[in-house]
Amino acid sequence: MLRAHTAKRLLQNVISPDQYDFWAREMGSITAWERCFARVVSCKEEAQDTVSLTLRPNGNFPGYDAGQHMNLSATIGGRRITRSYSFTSSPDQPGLVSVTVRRDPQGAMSDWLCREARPGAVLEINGVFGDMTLAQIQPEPEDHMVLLAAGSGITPFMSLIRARLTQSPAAKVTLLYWERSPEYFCFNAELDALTRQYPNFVLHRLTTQSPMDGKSVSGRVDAEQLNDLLGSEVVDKHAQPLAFICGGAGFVQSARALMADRARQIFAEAFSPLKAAPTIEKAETHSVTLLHSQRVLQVSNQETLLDALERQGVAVESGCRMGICNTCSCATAAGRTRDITTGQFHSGQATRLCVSQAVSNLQLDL
Amino acid sequence: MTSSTSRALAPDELQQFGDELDALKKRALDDVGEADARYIKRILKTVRYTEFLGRALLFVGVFPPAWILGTLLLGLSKILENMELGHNVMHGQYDWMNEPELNGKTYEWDIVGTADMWRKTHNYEHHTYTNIKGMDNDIGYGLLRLFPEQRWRPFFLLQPLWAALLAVLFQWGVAIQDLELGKVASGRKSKAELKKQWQPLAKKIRFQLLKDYVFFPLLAGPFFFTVLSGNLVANLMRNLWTFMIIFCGHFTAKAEVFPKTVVENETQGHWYLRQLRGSSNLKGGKIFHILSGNLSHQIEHHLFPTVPARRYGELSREVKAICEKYGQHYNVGSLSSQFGQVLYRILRHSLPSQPKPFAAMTTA
Repeated sequence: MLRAHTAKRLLQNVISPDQYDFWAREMGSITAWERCFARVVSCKEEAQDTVSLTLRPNGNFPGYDAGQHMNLSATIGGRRITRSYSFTSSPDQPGLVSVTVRRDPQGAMSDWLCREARPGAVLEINGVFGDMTLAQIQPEPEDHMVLLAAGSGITPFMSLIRARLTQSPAAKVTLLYWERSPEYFCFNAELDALTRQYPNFVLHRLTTQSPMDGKSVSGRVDAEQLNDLLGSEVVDKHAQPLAFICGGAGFVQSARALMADRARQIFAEAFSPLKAAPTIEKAETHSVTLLHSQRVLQVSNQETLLDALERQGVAVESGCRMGICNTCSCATAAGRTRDITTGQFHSGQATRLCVSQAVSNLQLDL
Repeated sequence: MTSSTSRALAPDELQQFGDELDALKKRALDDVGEADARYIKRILKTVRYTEFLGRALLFVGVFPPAWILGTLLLGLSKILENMELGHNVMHGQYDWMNEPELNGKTYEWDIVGTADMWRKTHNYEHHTYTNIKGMDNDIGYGLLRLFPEQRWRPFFLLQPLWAALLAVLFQWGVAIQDLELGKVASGRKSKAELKKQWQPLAKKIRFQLLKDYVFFPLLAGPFFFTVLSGNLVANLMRNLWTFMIIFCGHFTAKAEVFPKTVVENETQGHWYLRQLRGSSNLKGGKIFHILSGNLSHQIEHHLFPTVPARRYGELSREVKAICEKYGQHYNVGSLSSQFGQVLYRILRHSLPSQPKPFAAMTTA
């Protein structure tokens, strides 16, 4: 280890990290100085419009816990696009990770991952995140975990359920899993195997649009459904289960409200697709989160971000204030901006603050 | 020197002139995409492979043909890296790709000057205040008198020599430009400020010198000096080439300088007009344009510094048409003619010369 470190330091005198990564790739390796590249080793059709990809990351992969997700980048049409995906593999499976992606025809990344990503393709992993892990939550062995998933909301739960049952084989785990119709259900073989292996694991598959074999359409989550599935008796707060909710923003909102009286604690994650971009005619205020200083500011969409930040006392390095010198350019981690010189909308890329306005709430790398 | 071939524009004409250039820029940026990404990655690949081949050939540089070819390839790699890759990437032309190794804010280039200093003196000061006397330090790099508007001092009598030294050591000139040693000497800048600037620069200089003159020569073992001399000549090639291209961009006969007052309430159209009048283009073939980092299209580069430079050639036809429509001189010539004019300026203004009044850009 020490030797590798010394070799790296010596090598750094004649070659930059970018050059090292370049030559490694030219020689067919995804080894890198510090970036974490990952090669697609297999693709499997998981369900309708859904693909599971297995990736082999290079030695810079930091590892992960069940329930976490990662930022995954792919170069599509010359542009590197980054989106978050939950790990659907087990952390104890060495060297390989998998993600399950549902295709959204409007989503450049999911469409590419489902249709174009083939074994051999190289992606990049930019960090591993997420607090919905057993280490964070620390459930007691006797705690009942109730998981409510809609659509691709199932993905973080796969690793979480496996980890929970491995750690506490007798623990009670209930999964309520909604899809619009039967052909969309993922992980069928695996979930069925878990129900056979663990009698304490209860699985309910529910559909919202077309019926399953021998069952009627259950419809979207509502109180009556939950009474049927989870029981209607009033339970003391401390004896209530821990609830986990994951899915689109609408589902998470309704499920959270319905579970409020049924769960001791609720952990939720919403996956929401980007809304269509509005034109900036109506004056609106958006919140801007500065990631480094952890400040949150309110800015109007009628002024440039640079003006707005400076007016509120944020020191931003800037130069020409007309979009040419690139000094004030900063990475936008989330949200959309509009370039006032071109009228173009941008998301998830470097933004020249002096000629950009907020179109949505933003997270800036400042 | 004033230009007699461009006419002053009325305010509404200036507005239209600016709008047309804005529209052109928007059209170009809307079209930026996969082809630009492929292009810059191909350039990056060429830079890497020519550097590798050049250095490899220099290891067997005891054979004169290998030394010559190795030195040429390494020089070519450095030119391509500094000009078409580094310079353009640092303008943020490829930031839309979100590719960390092509990010304008973090890119570091193969030259003794730091990328951070360059981003300040070039991207900001030179591109915003192009050819404004007292604001754009690129006018003579604090060493040469190229316009009669610059005050004459006896120091300039020897400027053909200063110019030759600057050309040979151009990367060092660029590196220390922002230190403003003249200001430090005259007490207008503190030593503490200088020290703060010096630290990152010293680190970069040490890295560059050790790489080209210690580590790679040492790797060659007994051929230490053949590698060292090849690296030295390759750096020299790059220095001379970049000096020539850059001087042709703003110091030809019809290039204009401007007084500081032009920036007061300067409109976008006026800014475009100033960029046009302060810049000059070079004619040449495809390879020539690439090796100049497309700075041979200096006018288009100054109008649209954030548009990928490979598009300047295409844009130049439309820019030229807009210039004709508004009666503006489009300054373009062969390398020999434009560089001849630069050399004439260096010689002529080493002696006292009288400025003519600044050319009016607007009729108002």
